[in-house]
Amino acid sequence: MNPGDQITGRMRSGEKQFVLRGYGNPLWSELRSGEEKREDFMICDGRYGEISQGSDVFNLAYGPSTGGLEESVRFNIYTYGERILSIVAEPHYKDRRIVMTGTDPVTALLRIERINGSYSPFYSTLFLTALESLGDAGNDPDLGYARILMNETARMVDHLHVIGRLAEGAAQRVASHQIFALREDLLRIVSARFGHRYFFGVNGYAGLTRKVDFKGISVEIERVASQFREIWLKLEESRIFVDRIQMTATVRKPWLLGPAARGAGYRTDSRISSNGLPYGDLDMQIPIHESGDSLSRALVRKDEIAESASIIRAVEGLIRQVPDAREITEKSFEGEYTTRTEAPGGDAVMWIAVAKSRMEAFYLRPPSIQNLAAFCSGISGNVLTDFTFGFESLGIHVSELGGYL
Amino acid sequence: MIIIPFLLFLSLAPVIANVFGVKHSYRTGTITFSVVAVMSLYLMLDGYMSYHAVGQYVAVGIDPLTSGFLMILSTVWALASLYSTEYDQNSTSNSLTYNTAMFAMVILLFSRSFPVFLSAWETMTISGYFLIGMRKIVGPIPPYVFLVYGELSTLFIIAMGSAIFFQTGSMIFVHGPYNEILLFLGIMGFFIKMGVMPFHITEWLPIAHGNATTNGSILFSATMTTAAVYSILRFVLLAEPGIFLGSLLMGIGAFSLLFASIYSASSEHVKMLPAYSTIENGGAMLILLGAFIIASDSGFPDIAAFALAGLMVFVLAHSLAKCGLFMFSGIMEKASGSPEIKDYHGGSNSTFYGAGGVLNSLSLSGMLPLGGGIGEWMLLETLFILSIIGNSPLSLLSTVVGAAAALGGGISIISMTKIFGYGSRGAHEGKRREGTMRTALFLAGIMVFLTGILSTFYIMAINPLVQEFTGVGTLGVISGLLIIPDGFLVTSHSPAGLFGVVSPFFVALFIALFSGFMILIGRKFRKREVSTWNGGILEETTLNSFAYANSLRLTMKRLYLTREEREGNLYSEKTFDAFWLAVVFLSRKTVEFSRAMGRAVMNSSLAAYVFYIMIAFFLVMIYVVS
Repeated sequence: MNPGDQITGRMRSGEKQFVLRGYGNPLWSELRSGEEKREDFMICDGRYGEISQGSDVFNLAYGPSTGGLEESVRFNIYTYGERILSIVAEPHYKDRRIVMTGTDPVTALLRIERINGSYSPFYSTLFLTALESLGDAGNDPDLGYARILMNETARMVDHLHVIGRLAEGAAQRVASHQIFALREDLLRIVSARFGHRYFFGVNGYAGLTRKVDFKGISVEIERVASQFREIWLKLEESRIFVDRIQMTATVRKPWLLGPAARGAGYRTDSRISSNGLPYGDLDMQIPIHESGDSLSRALVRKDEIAESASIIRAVEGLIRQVPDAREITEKSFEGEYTTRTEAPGGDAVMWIAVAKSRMEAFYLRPPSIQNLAAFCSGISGNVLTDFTFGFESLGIHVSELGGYL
Repeated sequence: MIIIPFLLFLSLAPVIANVFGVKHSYRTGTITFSVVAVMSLYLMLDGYMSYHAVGQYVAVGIDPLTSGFLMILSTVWALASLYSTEYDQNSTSNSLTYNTAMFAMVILLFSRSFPVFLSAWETMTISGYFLIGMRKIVGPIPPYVFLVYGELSTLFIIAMGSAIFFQTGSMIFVHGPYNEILLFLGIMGFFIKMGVMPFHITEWLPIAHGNATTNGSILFSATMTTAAVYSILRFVLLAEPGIFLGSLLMGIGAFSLLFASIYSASSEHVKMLPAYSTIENGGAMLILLGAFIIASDSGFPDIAAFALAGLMVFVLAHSLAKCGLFMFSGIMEKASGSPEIKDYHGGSNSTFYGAGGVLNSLSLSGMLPLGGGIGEWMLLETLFILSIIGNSPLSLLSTVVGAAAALGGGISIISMTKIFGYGSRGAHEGKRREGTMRTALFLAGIMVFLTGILSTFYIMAINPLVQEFTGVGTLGVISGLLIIPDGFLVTSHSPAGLFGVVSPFFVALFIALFSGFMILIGRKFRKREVSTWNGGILEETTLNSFAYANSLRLTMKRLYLTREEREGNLYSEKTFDAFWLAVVFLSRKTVEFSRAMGRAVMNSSLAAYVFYIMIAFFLVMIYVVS
């Protein structure tokens, strides 16, 4: 059976997410590397977590509109006071469905970039890589390095955001504001160099749409990374910060992705297992921490900020001439393609089906699906005050949990 | 001459009135005990003393201590009887035992000899047993538990009485000094009635008090424990004990106060929660009693007078507020038909109900300017002063006891806000009158309020009582300062001089002034209602009472033995009273041992049985002769 048939069927039926369970599923090999196949691969079907019952158990609703959450998501916290027995997340409270079917690739690209602004270069790269494969556009190394640079910068931006939110949740307001200020510095560097702070419109078919000056960008980014290191050292000295996030929301499931997996000791990273971008040309380290708690995930992100700065420095030296983007409308696209990348939150998979240069089907499995499931699993058994640390440490973007039509 | 018989007759009148019907007996009680309360107040102010003995075994008397406690108890009984006119309209057995128990306590207060005292004590215990046991919805265990512990307390008192008899050669109460160990033996009997350590930890008092009728619970918690405090005070004043007993009482009081407040906060039973609070208050009273003994024995009569005045304030505030709280919980229980706090959606929308509930529960939380707040302030002041008077072991003891008292007082806020909060969220469906019950509750609250703001006058009123036992009285405790006129300021004094002050009347006045000012500028005294913001959704989440105190169960899981049980996605959390489990364990082991001994030694062996009787007789003889 063509793996895509299953997805296509589900997509056409209007389901928000598809479920992929068990070894027997033919999509398994497409989506997961060998090391990750050890157990049942869990993706939620719009349901996250479990309901608990009992004589004194009640449902404490949190969200969808509350000061503690940035995005619109509702949590049903099942508790008999203080301790979270289990939690059910409802991310589709504000239901967002992006119409992709029937659109032309240019419109699709615009919409894909806006699925999740923070992950814009990752998702646009996935889509464009798929299109370039279908259109036999070749594989220009300079374009690959440029995309790596964009992705790693976006990764730093997202990691700074996550750590800043975590520090804020742990009552480290000074550190939090300093980290948010660094993030803003980084976004302004991006804006100055790429023409848009979230890389909108810069990633194009077989090239970049704007002339980007890469020279010296690594120095500017390294300055941000260096300043972050200093803040982090201060944070690590704060017992309040460490005590609050250590041993909270511990989760060690084999289906974890990204920093959650690497924070639980799993050496999984799509940058080394996927051949989409030329990460193989780089001497790249993968930070691993073992505890699986909020602190471990924060440590992974902290290390990855330094590693991303290092990768940016390396690729800046490798970039010679990035080709200009070609007009997508020049080509006629036919067929289907699956691509994957390591977004800041973890492995992201995109599958597209195109017929006569029109989107016939689209599927994106963002890392936030698993991260939200990981949160629901890990926060169970913790106390209510740990909710914030657990949630923020996973860097969940509710915006990307919407459906696609 | 006729004062005691007259007061006894007034106290007996409700028992006699029972012949004419339940309602008449309660109405009679309301009237007669109101008269007794007023009379005893007059007798206390007058310093009236009288003593009558018939032969070598029967003696009764009245002094300021008796009239002071009689005033407190009869006020509570008058309120409880008023409440009962509506609460219990057809249970003759309940009203008879209820009225008999009150009469027995009056005799107890007048008693000046062991036979009279023990008769009253035993009548009180047996009446209590019937108050619980004749309730149809109660199983056999609660009344049995009450009886077992009640008889155990009698045994301790008999042991003390017989020891004192052999020491003094008299069954009439005479001044000591007594052997402190023997005195402590008797005090253990009173500890049982108060449910304090080591008997509070056996959970007997909450089981018994929690299963009685509401007017029975009021008798047990608000007045029987007070009668026990009176008894301890009576024997302490006779025996003239020293620092050893004082320290022991302070330590036991602190332990009881702290642990009872912890168990009270986690209790989900509408009557057990106040019952644990009774133990907590009993602990506080013991601390003050211990401080009084220590200060007296150490040559600090001013501190002793302050501690004794604090004890009397605490006794008054506890009795009234506990009476009110049980009335509050009784209305809740009647309204919802369940003893579980989590099942409540409020007892009544009545202002009388809400005002009575809040005043009584705030007083028991130790809030100024209510009576409980003044009592707690005097308790802590006494301990602060004792901690700085120069004796290192005493300083250490006072500091530790003070820390426990402060912590327990803080935790009591959880239990009181819980019972009041969940009991005042509106009203259950259905038409009920409960007008008299609410009125009695409101009156109890008003009295608690007046006890607080007029506590300076109450402290002046007990001057003859304190004067009799300390020689200095309480007039030095009351003064004025700056704009506060004389008679409105409670002051504490350390040997170095003025230590602390509080003016409950002016605290209340400032609250009233600021509240009045806010109402004035707000122009309207109105109740605003807003819909709950719950994350932007229409559904409302209800935080149940179990969850309200669950943080304590989790943070103190070693004490509560908190255990979570899970079957699939079905959860339950259970806590256990570790000490009660220990008692159950010991009981089982004792039964097993007895059976084993019975099989091994007296297995139908007449010779072994006779030998056992002889040994037992021999041991009793040794005890009696020694």
